[in-house]
Amino acid sequence: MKQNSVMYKAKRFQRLRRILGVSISILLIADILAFSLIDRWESNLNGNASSLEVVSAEFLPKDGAENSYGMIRAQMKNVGGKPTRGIPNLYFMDSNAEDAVGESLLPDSYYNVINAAGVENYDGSQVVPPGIAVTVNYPLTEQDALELETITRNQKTVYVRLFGFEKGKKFCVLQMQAEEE
Amino acid sequence: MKKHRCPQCGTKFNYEQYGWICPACHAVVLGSAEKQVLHREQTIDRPQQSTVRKSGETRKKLILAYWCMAVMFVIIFTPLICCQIGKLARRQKEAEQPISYPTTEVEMGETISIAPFSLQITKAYLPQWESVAPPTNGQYLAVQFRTAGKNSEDMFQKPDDLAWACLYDVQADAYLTPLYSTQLTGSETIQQQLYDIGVTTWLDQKEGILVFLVTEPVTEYQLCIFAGDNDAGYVSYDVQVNQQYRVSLIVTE
Repeated sequence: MKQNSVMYKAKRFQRLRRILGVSISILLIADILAFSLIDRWESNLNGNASSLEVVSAEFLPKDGAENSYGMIRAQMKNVGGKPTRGIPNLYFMDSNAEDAVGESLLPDSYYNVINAAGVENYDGSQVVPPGIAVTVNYPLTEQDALELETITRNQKTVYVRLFGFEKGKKFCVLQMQAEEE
Repeated sequence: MKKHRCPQCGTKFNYEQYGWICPACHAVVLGSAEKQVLHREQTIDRPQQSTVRKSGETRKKLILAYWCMAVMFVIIFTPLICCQIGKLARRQKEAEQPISYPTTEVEMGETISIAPFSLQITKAYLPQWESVAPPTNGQYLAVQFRTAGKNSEDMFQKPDDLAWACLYDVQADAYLTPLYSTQLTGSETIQQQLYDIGVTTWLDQKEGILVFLVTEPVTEYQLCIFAGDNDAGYVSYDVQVNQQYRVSLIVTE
């Protein structure tokens, strides 16, 4: 009887030891996996991915000045929690598919005149603070104007998006002022 | 019955059962050879058994050490990981919410409270520094500020941990960050001189000067102070903004 009780206790202890061993092993593996996942998560949160989104965009036809082919005036908002440095290029295209390729437009940045003079490029000093919307002009070249005309001739809708497009970010439909007039 | 090795080929067999003849090589085990085998098994094989026992004990110790380390690791790191996950989840939630914060219009010279600090924009002027060459295009605009607060002397806590500033050109609808002294001059001596008079990029001094490059002519400018908490990163721009102050600048020559 006594021997049975001792054997039962020994078996119970062995089973408990096994459960404890398995639990610790699982926790250990989970901890190690969590370390790498946390690291990746943190770097994603601290990342400098562009958080600018185009709120609205309108096409302004040429104003009669020489070498003017009109411009796209875009209002963009920083929807992230950090300021974004520099104003990115704008793309216009005839599709809102994620892999659509369009024409790239350079912004008429604040420091354009200074940069054009061959001085230091100060564009990085221009920021869009978090939660703020700014208006930026994107002048069109002759080639851009022709491309835009081709799209509007074939199809009514022109989509715009910013450079550094991320999955899930919205396209914006370009408002054609010329048509309204 | 115990088996012994054949003195010729090493095969183990029961001497008595096989009549002292090896079943493998058919060698006859003589009495003298049997004695030698028995003597060797008693003297040489015994230490081998003890070595096996010792290596078994070492293995047990290693396993025990491994388990101790694993338990310690789990006890120490599991709560830390849980805390970190909670913190990151909170940050993720904050990042997904649309940003909105109140904006307060402030006059020049008025005290802005960014607890536990206070900030004052004292002067805005077009600097005429002899040591710094004027820009080829545009002009420099200097904004003088003063900070105070019970912890302002603490090197581990400064106002720039909780706020950062940028200039808003109202007419151009553009926000500009202060220039670094390296953007003002290439000379290290002059950079040091500028540092000595308080030229800085952050709100990190008791009395400092923020320098901006603006296009000519002077138009309407506002200094925007973005204040909040900074538990997300290591630089001032990581401040989680929850308040904005706008100071309309009166630029003096």
